[in-house]
Amino acid sequence: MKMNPWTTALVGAGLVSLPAMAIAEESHNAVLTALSATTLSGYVDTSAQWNLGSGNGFTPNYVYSNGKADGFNLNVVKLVVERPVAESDAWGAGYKVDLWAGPDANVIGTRSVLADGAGDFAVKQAYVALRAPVGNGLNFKVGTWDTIVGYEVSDAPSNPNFTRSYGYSIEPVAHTGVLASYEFCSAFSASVGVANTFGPSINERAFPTKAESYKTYIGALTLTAPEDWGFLAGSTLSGGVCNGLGSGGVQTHWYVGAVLNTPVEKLKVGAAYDYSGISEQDLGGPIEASYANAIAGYASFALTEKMTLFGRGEYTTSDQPLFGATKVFAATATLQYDLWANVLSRLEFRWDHAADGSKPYGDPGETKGNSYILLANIAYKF
Amino acid sequence: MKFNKWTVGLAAVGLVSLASAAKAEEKANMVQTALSSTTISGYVDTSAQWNFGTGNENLPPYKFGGSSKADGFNLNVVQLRVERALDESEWAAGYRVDLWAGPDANTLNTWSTLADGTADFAIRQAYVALRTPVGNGIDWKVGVFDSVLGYESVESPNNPNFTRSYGHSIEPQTHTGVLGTYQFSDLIRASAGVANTYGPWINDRAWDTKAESYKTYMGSLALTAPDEFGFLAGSTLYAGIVNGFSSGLQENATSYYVGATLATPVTGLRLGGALDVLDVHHEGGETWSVAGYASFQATEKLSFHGRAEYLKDRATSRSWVWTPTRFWASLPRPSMTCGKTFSAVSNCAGITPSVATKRSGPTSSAIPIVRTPGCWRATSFTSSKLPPQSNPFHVRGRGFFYAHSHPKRRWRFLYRKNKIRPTRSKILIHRIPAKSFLQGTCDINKKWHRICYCAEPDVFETVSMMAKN
Repeated sequence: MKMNPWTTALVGAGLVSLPAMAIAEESHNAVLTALSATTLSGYVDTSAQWNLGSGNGFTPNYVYSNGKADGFNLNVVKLVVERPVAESDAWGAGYKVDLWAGPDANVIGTRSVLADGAGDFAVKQAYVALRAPVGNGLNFKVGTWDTIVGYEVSDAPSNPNFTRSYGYSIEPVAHTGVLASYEFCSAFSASVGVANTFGPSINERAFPTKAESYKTYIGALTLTAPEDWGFLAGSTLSGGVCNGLGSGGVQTHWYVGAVLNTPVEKLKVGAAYDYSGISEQDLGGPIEASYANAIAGYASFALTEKMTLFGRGEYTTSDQPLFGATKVFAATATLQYDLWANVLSRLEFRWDHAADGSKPYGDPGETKGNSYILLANIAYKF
Repeated sequence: MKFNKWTVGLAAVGLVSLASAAKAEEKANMVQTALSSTTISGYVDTSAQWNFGTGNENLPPYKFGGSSKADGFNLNVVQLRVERALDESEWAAGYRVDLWAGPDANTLNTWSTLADGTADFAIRQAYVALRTPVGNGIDWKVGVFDSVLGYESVESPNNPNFTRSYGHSIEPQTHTGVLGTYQFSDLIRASAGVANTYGPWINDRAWDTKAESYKTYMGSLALTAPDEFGFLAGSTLYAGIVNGFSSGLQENATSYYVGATLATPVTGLRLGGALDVLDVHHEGGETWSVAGYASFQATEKLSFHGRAEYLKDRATSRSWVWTPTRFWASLPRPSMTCGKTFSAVSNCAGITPSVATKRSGPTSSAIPIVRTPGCWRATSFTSSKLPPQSNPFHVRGRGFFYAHSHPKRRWRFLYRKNKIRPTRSKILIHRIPAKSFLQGTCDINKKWHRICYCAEPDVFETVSMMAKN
């Protein structure tokens, strides 16, 4: 049984009886579950961020940025409990539960319609995974699952950069419904799904009077370059669309992205384009048309076995100052060095520029057209 | 595999395939983790308490106590710990996550600056543990960790007495930052750290305009008596200090702590002592606590633990407490005077509600309230109510939040949609207890306004914002 040194000292002096602790086994024991192959994994994600210049009242508001400036941050703790579907099982079944605890759990927005607050906890994903022996095998997810469009993902340690892109910030996050995926061959796979809404709220319904028939539909295609394509082998091209009721109206999101290998072995490049729009509509009151889109380019270069440099350039436009300005350019450079085993450690510099001439950043007041952020990110993955 | 009769019946007529159930093993199986050495542990803490005499309105305000625990059965908290401790390697790495569920999770107060409620859940600790091979090895904690001060632990089962001391009640509890610990020898160990604030809010920031440079600093030193000290061998002397901005106090504060545990020549008898001082800057009076502990191991399974303590708080009151036989003199409830003036401060990052952002909440009613460092706010108004009104949110104890009514930012879309152009907003209290109040109005044409409130320390009060045409 492990105790902190102070507790150990108290025990040593006899001032803490710890009867239960004294009885606890000295050796570690496995947790028992009703099913085999259940796995526990996750990560602890922390960061320290410095927004250069005094004041942090108005900062770039890409998603997961809120409240992170000028200090130390616990971002999120993720716990994953899952049993993957066995490849060899024609009628395979499994499940996955992703739980988030910490500040970012308030931002992901997957709390159910019955919740009365976020409270630093969120169910990120919770679905039953099923396989039907149709052709190469049709895989289903039933429940709440991550969206299938986008270049970046909700899990920061899985992204090339720590801070999220503007493209990611306008993408859907999660849906509650059914998703089917089919791999036609190693070069071509597709997914289609139907869900309650654009998301991310769990068990949300579209218009109360139309919830029975009005659903959200989502689909995506992925092409993978085969082995005989030379240096391009393994490169991917993805496209997807999602249409349904969002927080402000019926919303459509389009995505296309690619990851390309290059003739330079250690260099990879990528690109993504996101468009999200709402047409003029009447939902018990007039809603004006609005849109936002973002384009981003990515590059990664492995400097050494343990050191990798990641870069991202992006440009977003919207008809409203969605991100403080109607036009924003941002560049991000990330240096990742794997110093400790299982630990993601990286330094990042991000520059955001209001390209429409406005000054949405600064403090006190919105007085600056540029924002500079320097941060360190440490995450332990288990 | 056991099935209930109805399930068996359904399976018999072919209406249920039971594919997964039929394949489930008869015996329990191990959870596989991606990494070896990951452990799961914890405890379930319950109690039954009788406060002698009728009524439990005014009770000693030690931490994790209060009227909600009096005169009844209590679930206190469930702690779940997932961790991988540091091994002995030079560049060792690990982590610890302590999650609390239950009533005490609300009292722990570690909810992040983005949370709008606790809902019986809290993160007690969540940090990455790292070692750098300098000298004997410096061990680091990066993230959210327990304070370095104190005789007693946040974990009740680790303490000699169930109820917490006043010393524990005035100590800092949790910080978000970096802590380094170095073991000079078996006799001396030191820790030093830097954090956002005095705590305990996760990701909190000091002074709204000084967060960039104003941090909280802490340090501690532990001495352990060596074996050649005779009966004193293993005794410890511990001292520590924490200095920084406290959001709860809305002021800088310094906490000092000195504690010792002493072995005695009497077999089974151990003694201890603790001194806590809380210095709230720029405020008169003094707050400190002294406590003595004694423990006697009567048999292998039976032990007695006693604690006597004396508290002097800033209101110049005194409280004697003897546990388990307890006497106590007058200790007034915390002052209900807010004591702060408030004024307009424009220092909170805006969130633009949008059809396209991920921050948006459910469609029709549950509009989330977001609290940034030192700042409560509603991200938008619901469109179903006229005039627009935010969902209620909760305040407790003393503090402040910000009200925002910038027409060009967060509420613009909604106002345009509903053709509403309110000219003023005001703050409403839905339920007004006898000693709670809220001050402030928010002009629609101005930016952030700080709204002070004073509410009961142990009860969440419901507040909402309403736009007034």
